[in-house]
This record gives sequence, structure tokens and C-alpha cells, in this order.
Amino acid sequence: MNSHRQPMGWSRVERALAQTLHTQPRTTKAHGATIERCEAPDVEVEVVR
Amino acid sequence: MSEQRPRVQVGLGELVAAVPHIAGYYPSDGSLAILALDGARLGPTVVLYAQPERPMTHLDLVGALDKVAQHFISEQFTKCILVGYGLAGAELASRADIVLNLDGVHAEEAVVVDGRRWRIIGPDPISTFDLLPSPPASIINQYPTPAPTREAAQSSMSRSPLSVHEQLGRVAENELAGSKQVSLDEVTGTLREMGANIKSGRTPDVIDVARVAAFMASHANNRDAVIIKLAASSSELDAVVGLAQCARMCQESAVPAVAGAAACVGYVTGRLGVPHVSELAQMAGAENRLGQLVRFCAENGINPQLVRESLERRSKSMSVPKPGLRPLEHQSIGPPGPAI
Repeated sequence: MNSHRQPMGWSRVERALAQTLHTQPRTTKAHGATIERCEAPDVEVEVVR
Repeated sequence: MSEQRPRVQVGLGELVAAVPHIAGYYPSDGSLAILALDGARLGPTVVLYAQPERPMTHLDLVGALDKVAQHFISEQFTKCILVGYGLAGAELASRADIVLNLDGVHAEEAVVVDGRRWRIIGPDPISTFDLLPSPPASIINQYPTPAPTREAAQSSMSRSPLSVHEQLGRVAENELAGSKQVSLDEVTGTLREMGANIKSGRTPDVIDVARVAAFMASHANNRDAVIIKLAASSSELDAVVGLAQCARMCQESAVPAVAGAAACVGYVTGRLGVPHVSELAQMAGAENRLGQLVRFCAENGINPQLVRESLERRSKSMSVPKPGLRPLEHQSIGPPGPAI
């Protein structure tokens, strides 16, 4: 099987995302600084000092 | 929802030690980690670093920090902690403090990590502290062991020499052809087991890898059902690690489906860092729309929650696949075909 077509359903995901992505801030690698976002752990972390 | 999550209190030193686990690798000297805070609550972490082929100018830095601030403010994070790496990172932290403050994100602390020690940046007499060898287990248990460098993190996701082809070839095909069809629950259970085995230093069974991959590649709904099931929880670290390993080892014909799914799940759950997700998405191939979509989102700092919500909407309209939906009808475990 050399066909790796994606299911049509993904276009719905893409459309839904497209509606919100254009309002989202984006990082970029076009310049000399790259930003990588990492998600917080799935616990409520309280920073105490 | 957040009220139901377990709560853990961490000191600044513990948080500094946890950054490599959250990022997936140890940031190199000259990098800056920006940890978002909402009050005392920890949010996403952004790692900022220079492109190797081009030094970071002040304008580059300001532009990047403006974007970070937009992200944070759009998600109600108005405070942060800055962690610079090495002397260049300390300089970045000092400059970022000013820029982010102008953008409306106040840095509560700025620290510098130098080798195995860290200290708070400030005008007062400075004390340095040893980096904690073991950050809180409740945090680091949610991430794979960090790679020593970003490059190592990326290469850890490339195709493994221990692939199904290398090890078994047609034996795996015969084994699969004679086996019973698997269900979604069996597949996710196998993935969890694979992840747990990898943590213990054991290589997954290639028959398990081939069987899971065949299930996911046999029908798009099968693959998507795995994605939706694993993406529903952030606590599926073992299954996420198992799925990534499956992408590295599986038969060539299943790589786009499995690698695209691994990239998606790793990104949506936040359990895999950007280097891992990018590499898996690239492995899925340029024609794999899911992989390309995830790669775009990961490399542009898009909040994974948006993708998660899209997946949830989709799952409501998707029929649950029947167990073992024609897993092998169009599958071949023979010699790899041409590159996709």
C-alpha cells in the first residue's frame, strides 16, 4: 500500500483551526531568534519563594 | 477543570531544575527559558535561543519577546520567571526583563544557570546554589528523560536501526497474518506497555510494533481513534513514548500513519518537546497532512489546546472503529517501498 492519503475528516480539523489560528500570535524562525513552547505539567504547580 | 488537578508546591531551585524535563532537553548556553505564571500557577514554558547560522540581534530578541508576551497575555499569564543559561543567557534574561515588562508581562525572578549551579540575577550580594539533581517527581514523571542537547532530542526520534524490517522482515508479516485482529483497547494497552518497557531500558517486541502499526495504517479511523483516545489525557506518557517508539521501528508502509499520530499526540498532550514533535512530523512525510499540520502548530507556538478542542469536536462526529478493521488487507511488511 503506497497510498498515504489522509482522511477527509482532517480538513474539518484544519478548517476549525484556521478559524482561530489567524488570531493567534505565532513564533517564527525567520530571524535570529527561535522560540519553542513547552506545556506545563498536568498538575497545579504553585511556585513558592 | 484545573481545580481538580493535584497541587504541588515547588521552590525556585526545584523549578529551575525541572526546566530541561519540561523542554525535553538541556538548553544550551546562550538560551533563555521563560516560565509563564498566573499568580503562583505555572503555565507554559518558552525556550528562546539563537539560530546557529545567525547571531541574535536586539531586534530579533525584541520581536521574539513581543510574540512570547502576546502568547502569555492571550492566555492570562501576566508574570514570568526568566532562566538564562550561561553568561550570554544571563545577558538575555536582563534584556528580556525590560522588554517583557514593557509588553505587560512582569518577570518576578531572573536567574542564571551556569554549569551545575544557579543564582538569582540582581544587584544584591549573590549566592549561588547547586542545581537539584532530582526535581519534584510529580512534575518530571510527566515527561520523558531530557536529552543532553536539542540536537540529541531531535535525533532520538529518528528512525531506529531496530526496525521491523531489520529484525524480522517477512517473519513479522507471517506472524501478523496468522494473528487475531486487535481492538483499539488492545492497541492502546500495548502502547502503554511499550512505553513502560522503554523506561526500563527494554526494546519493544517487534511483533507488537508491527501489529499496532498495521492497525493504525489499515484505516484512517483506526489511527484517529488512537489519537483521540491518547490525546484525551495528559497522563498517558507511557503510551505517548510507546507510540513514538512504534513510529521509529514500524514497517515502512505504516510510517506516515504512526509518525503523524505520534507527533499529534505528543504535541497535543504537551508530553513531547518541539524537537521531538518536529522530527516525528517530518518522518511522517511532506504529504502527510496531519504531520504537516502538527509541525506547523508546534513550530509556530500555537496553543495545543486549540488542536485538542478540534480533536474533541471531531471525535463526537466520528464512529468508533470496529476491532481490527481489516488491518492487513493492504499492508505489506516486505521490503520498504520508495520514500514518500
